Amino acid sequence: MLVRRFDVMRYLLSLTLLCAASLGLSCATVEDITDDLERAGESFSAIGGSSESRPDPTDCVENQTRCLGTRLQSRPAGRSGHSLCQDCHQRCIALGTWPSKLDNGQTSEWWRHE
Amino acid sequence: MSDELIAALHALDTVATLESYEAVLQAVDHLRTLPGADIIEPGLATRLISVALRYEQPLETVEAHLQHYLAVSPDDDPDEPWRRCMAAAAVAVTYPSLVGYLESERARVAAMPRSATLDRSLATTARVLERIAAGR
Repeated sequence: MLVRRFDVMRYLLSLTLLCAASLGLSCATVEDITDDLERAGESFSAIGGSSESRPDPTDCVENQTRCLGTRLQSRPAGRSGHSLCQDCHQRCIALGTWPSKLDNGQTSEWWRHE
Repeated sequence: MSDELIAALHALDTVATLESYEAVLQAVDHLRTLPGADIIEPGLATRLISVALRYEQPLETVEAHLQHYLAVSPDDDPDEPWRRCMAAAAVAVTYPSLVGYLESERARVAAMPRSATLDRSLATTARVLERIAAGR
């Protein structure tokens, strides 16, 4: 999703430069327009970007809640019926922030599995 | 694992966990009646620890769940030593007076043959003990 937004922004920037060149605008004017477009892109990402909508990494309960709603939850976590999201939740409590990985190398990044 | 067991685990991890501590206890009781549930008893035990911490249960309840997990955690599963450390670490951070369980698990891991996972587990445990010593 985010990648597609960047593609759109890149396309808009290219289009702006092309139009500016064909209209004979000065470099300063082109830079102003480019800055405006970049700011618009940042705002756009801030509203709907997946990384920005993630809970605070120190909020172990909210991260666990979100994790339970993803495909990460149904991944096998050992042969004794453990749950990846519960493992990640315990590590979060232990270290104070939601981890990126567990000690055995399994990912905790639920936002990549929505 | 049977389809019924998988469906019951899914219900436990979503509906019950998101509802309340009591709902999880009920779901776990139901799960334990299903055929083949004995295999996943360690998984149920870690869920009970996690949910007890999520719903801020008292020290005695959390300690009982940790003791149960440590008792049923199979010695022959290479994924269990680091998980035992992590469960004990989460409990110790919440209730520092229970840090003895973490220290015991760390000693067990330290006595095992080296591996990348266990080295990471020891490093994690050291960080947790530092947090506890610093008052989090």
